[in-house]
Amino acid sequence: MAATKKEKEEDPRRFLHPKTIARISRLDFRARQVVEGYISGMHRSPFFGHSVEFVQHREYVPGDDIRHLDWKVWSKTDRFFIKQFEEETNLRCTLVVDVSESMHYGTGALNKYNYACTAAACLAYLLIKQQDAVGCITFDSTVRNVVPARSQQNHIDAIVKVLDISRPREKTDIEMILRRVTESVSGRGLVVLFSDLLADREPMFRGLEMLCHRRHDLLVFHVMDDDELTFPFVGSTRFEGMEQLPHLLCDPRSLRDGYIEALEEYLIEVRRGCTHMGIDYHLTRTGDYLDAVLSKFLRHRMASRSSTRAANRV
Amino acid sequence: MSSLSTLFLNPWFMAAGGVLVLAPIIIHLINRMRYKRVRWAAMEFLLKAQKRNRRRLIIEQLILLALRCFLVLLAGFLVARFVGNVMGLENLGGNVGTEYVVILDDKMSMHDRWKEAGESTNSFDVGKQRVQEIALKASQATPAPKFQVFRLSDMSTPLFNDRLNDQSLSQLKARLKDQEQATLRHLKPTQAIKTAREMLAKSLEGRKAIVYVSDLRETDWNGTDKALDQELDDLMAKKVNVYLVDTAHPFRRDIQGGAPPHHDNLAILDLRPETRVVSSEGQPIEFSATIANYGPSEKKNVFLEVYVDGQLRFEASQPISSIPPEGLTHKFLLGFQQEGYAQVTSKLIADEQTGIEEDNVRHTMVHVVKNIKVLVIDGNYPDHMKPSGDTVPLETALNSSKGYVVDKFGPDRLETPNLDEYPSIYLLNVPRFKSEKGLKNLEDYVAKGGRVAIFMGDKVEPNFYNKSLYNDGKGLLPVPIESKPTPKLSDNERMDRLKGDQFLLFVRDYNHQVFAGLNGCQDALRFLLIDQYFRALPRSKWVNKPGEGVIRELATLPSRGQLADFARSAQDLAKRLPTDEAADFKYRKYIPGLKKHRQAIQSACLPGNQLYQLANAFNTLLTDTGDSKNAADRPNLVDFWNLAEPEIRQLRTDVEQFRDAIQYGDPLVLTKRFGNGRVVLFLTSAGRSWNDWSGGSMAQFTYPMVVGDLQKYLTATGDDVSETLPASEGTSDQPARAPRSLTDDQSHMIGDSLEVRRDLTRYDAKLHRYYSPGLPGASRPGKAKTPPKEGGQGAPARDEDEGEQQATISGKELVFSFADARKPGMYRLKLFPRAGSGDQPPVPEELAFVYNVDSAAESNLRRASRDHLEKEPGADNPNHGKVFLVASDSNLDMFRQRQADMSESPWIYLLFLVLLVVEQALAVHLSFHLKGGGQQPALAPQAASQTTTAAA
Repeated sequence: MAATKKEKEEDPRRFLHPKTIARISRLDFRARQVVEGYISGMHRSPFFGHSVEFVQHREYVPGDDIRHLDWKVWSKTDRFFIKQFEEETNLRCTLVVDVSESMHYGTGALNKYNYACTAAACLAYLLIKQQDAVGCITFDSTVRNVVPARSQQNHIDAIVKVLDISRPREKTDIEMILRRVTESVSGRGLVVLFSDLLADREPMFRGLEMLCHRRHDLLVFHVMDDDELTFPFVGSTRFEGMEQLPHLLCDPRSLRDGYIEALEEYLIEVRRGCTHMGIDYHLTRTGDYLDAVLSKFLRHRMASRSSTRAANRV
Repeated sequence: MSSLSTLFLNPWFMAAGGVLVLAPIIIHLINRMRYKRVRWAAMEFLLKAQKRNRRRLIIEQLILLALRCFLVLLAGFLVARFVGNVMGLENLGGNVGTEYVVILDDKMSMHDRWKEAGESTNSFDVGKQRVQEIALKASQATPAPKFQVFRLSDMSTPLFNDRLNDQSLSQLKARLKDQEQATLRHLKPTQAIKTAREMLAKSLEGRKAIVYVSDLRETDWNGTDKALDQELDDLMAKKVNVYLVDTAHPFRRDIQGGAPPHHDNLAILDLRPETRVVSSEGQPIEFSATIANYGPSEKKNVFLEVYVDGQLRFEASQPISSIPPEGLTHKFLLGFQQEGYAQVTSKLIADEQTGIEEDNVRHTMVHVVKNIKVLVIDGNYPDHMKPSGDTVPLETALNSSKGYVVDKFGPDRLETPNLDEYPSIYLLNVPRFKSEKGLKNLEDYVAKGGRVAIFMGDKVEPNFYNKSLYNDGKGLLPVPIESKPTPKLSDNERMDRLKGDQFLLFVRDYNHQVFAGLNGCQDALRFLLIDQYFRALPRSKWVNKPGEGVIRELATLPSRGQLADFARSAQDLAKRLPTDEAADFKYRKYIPGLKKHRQAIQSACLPGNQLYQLANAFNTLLTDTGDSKNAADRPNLVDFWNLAEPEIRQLRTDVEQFRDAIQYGDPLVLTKRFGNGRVVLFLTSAGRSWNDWSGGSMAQFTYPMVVGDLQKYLTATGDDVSETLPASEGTSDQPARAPRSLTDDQSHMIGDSLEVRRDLTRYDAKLHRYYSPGLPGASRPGKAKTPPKEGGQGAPARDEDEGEQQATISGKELVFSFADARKPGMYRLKLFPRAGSGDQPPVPEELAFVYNVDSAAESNLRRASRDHLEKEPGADNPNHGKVFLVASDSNLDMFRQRQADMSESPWIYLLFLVLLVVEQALAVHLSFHLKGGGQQPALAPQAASQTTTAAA
């Protein structure tokens, strides 16, 4: 028992549980803890030096990491060149985070908004750590904040700051937002959407389709609260709709089956729609460990890199 | 609330339950007021769910709410113990409460007394106690039953009528305590049970029962009362139980079958004088007291006290050495000097520890007058006083008895009213009545109780007698007569009859009062020659036959048939006598005597003999008592004729009928009952014109005897002594007999009603009433009637002044109705004639009536057997009511009927269980309860699963 408790205390994954994460109030620290914990909990990431393929050299400019100097080339040419690996290619990731009012709901340690922000911050931290460019767009009925993609180390602060200040208040107009995202994100890149997708389906699909049409790589994290998925309410309850939806006084137990049925229809529709558009879709509960988010993201990255290499060979 | 109390054993619980039925609704409403608020993001799905399932949810939730309300209601029904009788729910629970009609028997037999632990008690006291015990048990039933208690003598006024509870039980006890004693009336249960049945028919209670608390005597419950049986059958058919509660002593035991033992009892059934009008200057008259012994053994050391107007008369009071079980008639003589109504009371003094004391006293009365007026209507009037006429010998015979004053008139006297002043009337050789009015006067006189003796003669007009007096059997005359009298006997015929050894007149019943005096001097009748008489038409033409209770033949002339006509039949009959030693072995001891009589009969049949000789031979055959010292040769043939063998009984009947046929000829003296009076018809003359009875024969000494006895019979009370006493038919609500007229002084029974009618113009519309108990110290102190009488000792009887009574007017008559006699004794009525035209102030008219207990109906304390009391419904009517016999040790828990209610039916619990299961299933279906042990089901796997993107 004592060993188990000690193991638990030393388990780096302890920072991945939402309850634990929730205790870290600063988002940047939270993201660091999650990522460090995630990394230290795994064997060394294949991202860092093993399975990452050498792509090309680039002349050394002051500030580059000298660990990547190709000494063989210097011995031959007496000039300094930096090896560029695959991830060092120009990955531009845009984190699109829904900060509408509906994201404020949550009964667990982290509500949907906090969870989405934490996940987005973790991804940003991870990407920046890999010297990828990460930008962030927060939105509700309009685009609230935009952080252009940068790869500087200190860019994480800007992203975290934007996530911090974007308090949910308005309803979502996702089609318009995604159109804006499409317009604002130049070039092909990765767009990671954190949202509860509680919006009209058709406009949402149109928006996502626009992004797909621009050949962006889309990853959708459908963030939903456990209660929204299980509907565990009992007793007479007055459900006050967010985002200007009507209220309903009912016995939740009598509507539970119908709610679940409607929710399942919605989730299936969303999943199918995403699958049809080739969008990587993940339903994420606010009660899930955050390493799941990171794992999903990394798997997506690996899958997309493989497909890119295969395409380049051709 | 009263309706709830009829539907529920615990009505207040149901009232609460009715409120609690609203609890699920109230809880639902409260829950709707108390709710949590949740800001909800996924409202879209909730609204969609609500829209899709709205109607179904509403219906299901309404059903669930209704189920819950119904469950609460059902629980309420169970706790409140529903017993309603509504549309088939009768079988699920029980009926509502029970209504009891309790009839407490208070007839005279309930005075049957005994001592218990030194205290004297009687059946009526036991009955009151039993009523209380039953009420106490019944009060423990749920719901409280309705209880009505009546006395058998008064079914119109309940002693108690309420639902039983502690307070009403106290009231019942108090009211029963007020009922001091039973009545002295004879009452029968039939009418009371019928009245109770009619009461229960109007009851709304589920169960009904009649409780009859009585001593259940055999006289009432012997199974012969068809009306009572019918009433009980009707009650059983209507599912009414009848409980017969026995209060008699010795107490009946529950396991006891048959009839339980009863108390012995002595009773005076009847007390009557030989004449109701007595002359104060006449001879003492004989009184007959009929005493019954309702016990298995003779009673000894019994003393009969006789009182006249409350004073003990030692000369008449005598010990009675022994009273056998069959009873006896005790006679005594009393003389009266003081004029007026004299009340004669006899009282049995016996060492009776049990039984009824009240029937040991009997009252009668005589009207003492200076001279008894006799009205003689002579057809020869005004030449009626010839010595050869009819009036002189009759008057002479009457005067020999002293105290008679004979008023002699012609037939016109019948046309005038006031025949009632004469106790008796004689019609002597009256040709016809002057008019119909006279006939009506006479018929009214007899109908009201008067008595008439009719003698024939040469002036009699047969047509008038047949048409008006006989009137096809509806008139005064007992029999129709031939159109002319028999021809006068010639001298030779007279001599032939006189010298023969035959009776010239046969008295058919020496016990009858008219000829009782001839008992012992029958031989004189061999010399009583009747020269002429009116022959009655053949018996086949009589409307009323002897033996039917209307007419009787008192005396008959001998048959004038010819021996030759009967000889063959006589011989054939004689041959039937068992005289064969071998064939008639069982009668062997009688054979010597029978042989002799057979020979005698055969000898009498020889030519040259007279028919009467043959009749004598048969008479001798029937009455031969033999020689006890020489029984072998001269056995007692009376024993033979009393044998029980059917062939002997038939032979005896045949012999007696043959004897009568050859012995008896034309009737001479007959009597007929007409209304309340009697008519005695002599088909010959009263004087010597048609017979020598009144003089000129050796039998003439019997004439004054017969006339004296006839006169006593004409002024006697009640029915003929030799007839059985009529049974009284008293009921609780109706008088035992019809109202009687003034002149009918037969003994009335307690409870009878009387009417006295007087001319409206001649009498005041009021009378004064007095009551005399007849025994010293037997009544309340009151005004003394008169100073003590001569010849008596003891305290004088005191008349109780019962005050004035007003008459009602009926046409031209004043009608005084008297129905208040509740005590035995004599009741005097004083009427006040209006002042007439003369100077003399009118003299008040006094009437008297005697009331007695109906000992004949109530004194026999024999008890009914269980077989005659209990009744079970037939096998094809198992649900009908029953007649239960409740003995003294019977468990009275049968009255503590705990009402079965719905909570005792297993079906209700099954229904409850089914409803609970349905409610739970519906609640689970509506997700009011969590499935699978409380685990919340996860979202569908396909919706929550990870997906991989398709290769671009």
